[in-house]
Amino acid sequence: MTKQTDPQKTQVAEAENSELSKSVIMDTPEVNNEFSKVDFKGSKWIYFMVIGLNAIYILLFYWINLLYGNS
Amino acid sequence: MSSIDWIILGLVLAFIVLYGLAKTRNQSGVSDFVTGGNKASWWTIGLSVMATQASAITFLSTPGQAFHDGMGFVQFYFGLPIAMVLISLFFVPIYHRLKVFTAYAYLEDRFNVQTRTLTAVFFLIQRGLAAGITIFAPSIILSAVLGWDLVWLNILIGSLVVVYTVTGGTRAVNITQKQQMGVIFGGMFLAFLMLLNFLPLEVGLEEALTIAGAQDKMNILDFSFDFDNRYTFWSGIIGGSFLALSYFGTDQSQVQRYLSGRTLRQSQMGLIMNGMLKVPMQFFILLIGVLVFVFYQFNASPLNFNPTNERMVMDSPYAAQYKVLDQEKDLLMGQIQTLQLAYLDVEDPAQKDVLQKEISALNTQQLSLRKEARELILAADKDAETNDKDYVFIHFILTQLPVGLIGLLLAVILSAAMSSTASEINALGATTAVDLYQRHRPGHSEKHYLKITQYFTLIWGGIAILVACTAPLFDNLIQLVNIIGSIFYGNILGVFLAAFFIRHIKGLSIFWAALINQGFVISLFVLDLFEVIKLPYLWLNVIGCVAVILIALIVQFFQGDKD
Repeated sequence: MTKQTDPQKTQVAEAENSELSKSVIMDTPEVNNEFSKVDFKGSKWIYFMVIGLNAIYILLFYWINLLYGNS
Repeated sequence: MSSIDWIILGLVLAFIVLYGLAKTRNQSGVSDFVTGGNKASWWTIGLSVMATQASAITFLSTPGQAFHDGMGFVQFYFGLPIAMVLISLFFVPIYHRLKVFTAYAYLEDRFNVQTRTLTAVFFLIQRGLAAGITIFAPSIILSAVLGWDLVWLNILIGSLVVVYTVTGGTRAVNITQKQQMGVIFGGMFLAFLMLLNFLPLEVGLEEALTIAGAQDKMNILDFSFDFDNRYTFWSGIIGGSFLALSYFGTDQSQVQRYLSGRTLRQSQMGLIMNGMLKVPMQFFILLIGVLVFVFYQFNASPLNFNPTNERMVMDSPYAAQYKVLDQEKDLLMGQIQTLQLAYLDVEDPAQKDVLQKEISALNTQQLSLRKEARELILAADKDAETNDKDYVFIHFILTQLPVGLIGLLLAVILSAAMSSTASEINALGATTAVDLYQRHRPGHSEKHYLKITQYFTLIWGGIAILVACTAPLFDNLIQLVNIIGSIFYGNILGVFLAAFFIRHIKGLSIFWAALINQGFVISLFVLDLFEVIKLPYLWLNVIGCVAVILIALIVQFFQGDKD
């Protein structure tokens, strides 16, 4: 009883996996047949965006630091 | 507190609890209770993840941190977005694919039942303690400033949460957290606007930042490798990444939030939303603390922001000495106000520099007076907690905000306490029921397991209230929660990383490595506590994580290929 077994949900997830794994797939060391691959799911831009956005935050902090900081 | 404030506070809290109860009365089974029937959208998950992490401590302690030490604390969150990306890419797809209820169930698939049980127990220990502190932190502060009874306040916060978490499970937690985040964002934004409004006419946001900057409050980034400084760019990026990776990737109170996602994509987007909003949110809360500092450059502030300390010392033989210090402080405050206004007026950089030095000198004198006041408080009661960081913002709320807004801001604090406590006891109940009870006592009906999960949630709610009632006040409450987390998180994260990426490591070696390593990390913390070594707590995450993998590799080497 440690896993959900709702077949409908499994189908939804599998359909999504199949759709998303069209994008880049990165092989990782095989740890177990069931999860030997880690997929870069969906659009990659969102991941670059979150890192880029935070880089902009840090640059903004750096600028505020230059303007108002005392160090 | 006025009756209008009481009404607003009561209405907000009653609405959230009743709405949560009404929307989530019927639970069909453990799946429904633990993962909310997998119906949550990405923004519900995002808000839920943020509400779980942002406890009342965040809103009480963080402005106080900025008031005393400036904006540098924001660096602590720099690693979080990196962790969100890594968890979305590596952790969430595996949890979704395996359809697990808890993060630890995955470790049984990968290693063995012992490792699953051990990590679940580590989680229960640290999160059980943290849940108590999540309740205790706002209670101790509110009881001190409002005169409410500490024990009853602990029981009130804990009970409100238990009511809807036990009946409605994860769905109730998610639904109420949306309302709570609405109250929190609204309340904090209003507090920010009121602060700007309370500053002298000549002082806008830019002038306020100039004043704060001149007094070292705007030193946001520190690129040094200084181990004496807890918050640097590097400790935030490296230590913060490990802490966030561990907290969001392996702590069931967070994993359960995104396991409730409608699809894998929705879960990932919820985490990404957190990665985009967390740093600016913390910056904004710290900025409020800095504005409170600027406000008190123009307005009278107490020698110690904790009113219990002030009352106690005024009833002691040290009252006369304390009054003298208070008068000296008032004189200094008057001088500081005049010089601050002059500082804003002058254009000449040389004159500005002279004024800045004078203001700094007066602020240093003021700090010395506050230190002397703390010594008097300690002389009056050697057990008194003189650190008043956590009382700064609530003092401002209660003494400066208009009627109505006080009730709303108190609702913000209690909502934050409830939102994170709800996720915690929800996860504690689920982990105990699924990873310990259900795993070791299989064969019962779904109804039985649902009841058991609800009972465990109720029991953990009771334990959290009990811990809250007995918890002492530490140096800084937000740090205490992070320290407890850092002691266990690195170890748990190392186990998960070994599971994901190092196929060579097998069940028995990781189990023993996790046990040995936990002892090692606790020893390092104790050595730092007694100042034998110098090791800021964030680095325990990194060391714990790396050490468990190394120990497991060594044990595996001696074991050969056996499991």
